[in-house]
Amino acid sequence: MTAKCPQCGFRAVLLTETSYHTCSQCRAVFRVYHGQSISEQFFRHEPDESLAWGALLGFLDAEGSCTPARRGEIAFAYHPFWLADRTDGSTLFKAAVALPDSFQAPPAPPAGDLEFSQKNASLSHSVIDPQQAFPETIELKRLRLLQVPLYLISYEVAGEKYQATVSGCAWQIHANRLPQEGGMHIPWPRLTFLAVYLTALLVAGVLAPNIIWRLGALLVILLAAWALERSGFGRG
Amino acid sequence: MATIVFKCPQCGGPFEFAEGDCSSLCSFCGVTSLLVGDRGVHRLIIPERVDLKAARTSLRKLLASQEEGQAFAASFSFSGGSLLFLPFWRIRGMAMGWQWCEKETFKEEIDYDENGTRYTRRVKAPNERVFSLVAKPLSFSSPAGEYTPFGMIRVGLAGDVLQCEPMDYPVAAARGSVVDPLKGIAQARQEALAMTRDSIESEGVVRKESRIRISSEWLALLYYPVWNLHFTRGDRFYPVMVDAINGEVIKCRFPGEKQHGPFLPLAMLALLVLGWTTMPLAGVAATVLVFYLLKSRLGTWDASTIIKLLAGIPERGAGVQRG
Repeated sequence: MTAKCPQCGFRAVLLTETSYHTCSQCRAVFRVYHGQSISEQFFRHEPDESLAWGALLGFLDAEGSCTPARRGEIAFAYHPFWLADRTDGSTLFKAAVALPDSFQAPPAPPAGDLEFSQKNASLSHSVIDPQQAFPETIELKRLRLLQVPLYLISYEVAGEKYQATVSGCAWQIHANRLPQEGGMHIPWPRLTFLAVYLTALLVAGVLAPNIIWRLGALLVILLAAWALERSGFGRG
Repeated sequence: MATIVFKCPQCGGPFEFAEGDCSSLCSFCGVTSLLVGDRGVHRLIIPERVDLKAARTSLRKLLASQEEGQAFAASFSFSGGSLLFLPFWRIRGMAMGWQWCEKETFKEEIDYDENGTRYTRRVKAPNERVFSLVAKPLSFSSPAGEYTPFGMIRVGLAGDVLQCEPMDYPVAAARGSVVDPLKGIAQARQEALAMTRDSIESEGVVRKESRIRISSEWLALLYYPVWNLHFTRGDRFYPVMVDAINGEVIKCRFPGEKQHGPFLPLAMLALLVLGWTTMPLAGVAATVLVFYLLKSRLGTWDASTIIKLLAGIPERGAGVQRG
């Protein structure tokens, strides 16, 4: 059987019946499916979990959702997606491996600098068949397998668990549901600071023998609390 | 996909190169030939006119011009940026073909009522069938991928008025990241034709058939430069897209916040305690004064706003959003 390399066009004689082959000319890895070579490309990305978490926080902030109370698990991986060009010119984009429950897959292929997979690239190669991905009878002109860098993030707000998918290409967020602006959340350190301040004021106010002492004591407490707050103490 | 026929440099036998291929094997003598450069599609690049510093300044200016002001702009720190070249399909030519349509028509009838007053009424007439030839100049651009995260829809006529250069991939890749086109030319052509069909008269049309093709087509893949900037505030991260031609911020989402100074809520609590621990009348006076201060400062009696002020929680403002 012969197959054409989707990167350089080199037509190679395939000696084995395996799904994956490496082009002897350009070293690109490609799949062969029913005699048709399928390119496998990936978006180069340097994983950075804190940046993905920051992008999610920034997105939630801008959306007006509550601040996530607790960061859960963050899993980074390249997830394979089928990109099919149909004969009528339109394209289809579908996950080639189902994402875990509650995580939303990107609805469209992200934009980025694509590179052909090399033999040693640590990408997920076990994918569902194109026929399984596109069960409806459609005429496909060209198939490509895109490896998209995704962060699957779990987080918790007010005891409720949420999931979000962050694309490493343009830091786009995909989520089935977002925490809504609910009740007010006053951080515990802030509550404690206010309680101590109020208690100190009341004690000084009640114990002071006259108005002059009371005024002086309250002023000292006020200035001390103000200085502490300016230094960031008690802001949570 | 265009196919180009070459002669093998070793044996002279003909062999084919498909568009996009850069190597091919001669079926006669087995020698591999390499092809350098692209054929078929013009690849053009618009060089960036705005550098990283100017792009950053543009965003800072936008933030500072908002209601929240300079302090709001200064609260975001710049953490890096990179140049992206986004490919757009550019199609020019003539949209030629024919269109047949069935239109709803109306006619005015004159009638008289029982008092003899003349009036006109609009009644439906038989549908009119129109056959027309289409010949319209076509100038269309379409993103060759999904650029919603970048806030880009199309480049308009930028390719016509800005100086384009032939795409030199290694040079462009050294300056920034060259995004690969994921949308095929067939889809871009269909969009261009759909736009032409929509632009043809459609008022009162109930049914239409058309066959329009692009003739004298000039096709290009135009790479447009944008800056992808990263801003942070605390542990939050905000990506920003800036047009690298005119420096305009095309996509950003920053939450607005109104942070009240810490002194006022603390002073109000101290004033209340001072008043109520001195004498009831002073307590009442202090309470009235505190309520007056709250009203003048916040402009509302909303309980949650007052609690937020006392607890030092910033209030959500309009924020800055583009794209």
